[in-house]
Amino acid sequence: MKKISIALLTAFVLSGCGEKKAEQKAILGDVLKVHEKVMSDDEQLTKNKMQLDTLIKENKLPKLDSAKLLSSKLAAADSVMDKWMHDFEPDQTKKSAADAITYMTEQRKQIMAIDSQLSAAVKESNLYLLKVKSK
Amino acid sequence: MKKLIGAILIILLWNACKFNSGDKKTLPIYGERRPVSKIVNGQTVVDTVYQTIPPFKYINQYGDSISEKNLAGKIYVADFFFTSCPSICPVMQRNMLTVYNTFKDAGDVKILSYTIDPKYDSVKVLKKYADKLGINGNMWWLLQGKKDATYELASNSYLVSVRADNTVPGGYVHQGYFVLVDKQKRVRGAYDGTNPQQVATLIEDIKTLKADTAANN
Repeated sequence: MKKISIALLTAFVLSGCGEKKAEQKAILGDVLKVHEKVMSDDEQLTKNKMQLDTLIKENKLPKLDSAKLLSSKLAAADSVMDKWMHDFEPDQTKKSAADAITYMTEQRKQIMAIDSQLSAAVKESNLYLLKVKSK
Repeated sequence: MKKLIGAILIILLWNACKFNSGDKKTLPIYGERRPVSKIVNGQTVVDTVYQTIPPFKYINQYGDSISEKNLAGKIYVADFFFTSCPSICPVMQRNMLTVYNTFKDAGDVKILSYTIDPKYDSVKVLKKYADKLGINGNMWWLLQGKKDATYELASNSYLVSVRADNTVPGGYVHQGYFVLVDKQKRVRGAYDGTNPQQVATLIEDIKTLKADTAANN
């Protein structure tokens, strides 16, 4: 009876571990997916920032306040993305399953916030550049 | 009878040669092209000028300055990566190792991996990354330069074929492409660096380019 109980307990614990690993893997998948999108937007960010910085340097527009503000918004979004990327640790094997899930969940929250910030800055600068070019 | 066998043998050989020449693979040349007229031996001939990779200046993992001049007479493969990339870059670099191991002793083939995160990927970081990959010598250079310049070089020059095949503008630099450049600095192909089958095609295409160059010399 004891042996059966131990076997059942082991099986229960192992199946729990498996579930937690799968959950951890799924959250990591979400994080990487958002990160890929952010990286793709970062290309547009770099191009827009280059155009804005050229406008500021040329100094031909009557007002450059918007261009300067948008350029700094893009720089800030780029900077938080860089920081996240360098701090992110995808290998969580040394932690317990519960701690790894907590870490990955927090990272998902962070990268989603970065995605929103970066997307908004790119969209805003897209609109401004379109307006300036059409003049 | 002897004459007949001889004639059949000649026809068979000729057909075999014809088959081989028709089967020879030629790689496309990507990018813009324009015709130019020039005078050769007193006669006006029209030639085609193809888009080429423009001059650039970067620093490699040894701290050496690298420009287009270091690629003179070389076929090379270019890709874009960053050392802290948690997703596609490890797969790409693993596949690029196959290219490295196939051609590391060839002498006329190089690999250029441009970092798109130059703020973090210093010479020291790139050297550490190279050591971890197990690469040494001067066949594969990991390059650090200005981020703006790298995106411009990627979008306007290296990824011309990718841009032409896509309706959505931009977003290709971090998609894991391996770009094949010939000895005349022209883009001859773009391959999904995360796909081992496409990397195998790239290796075959490098061999084709090498054979082409040998035949034209």
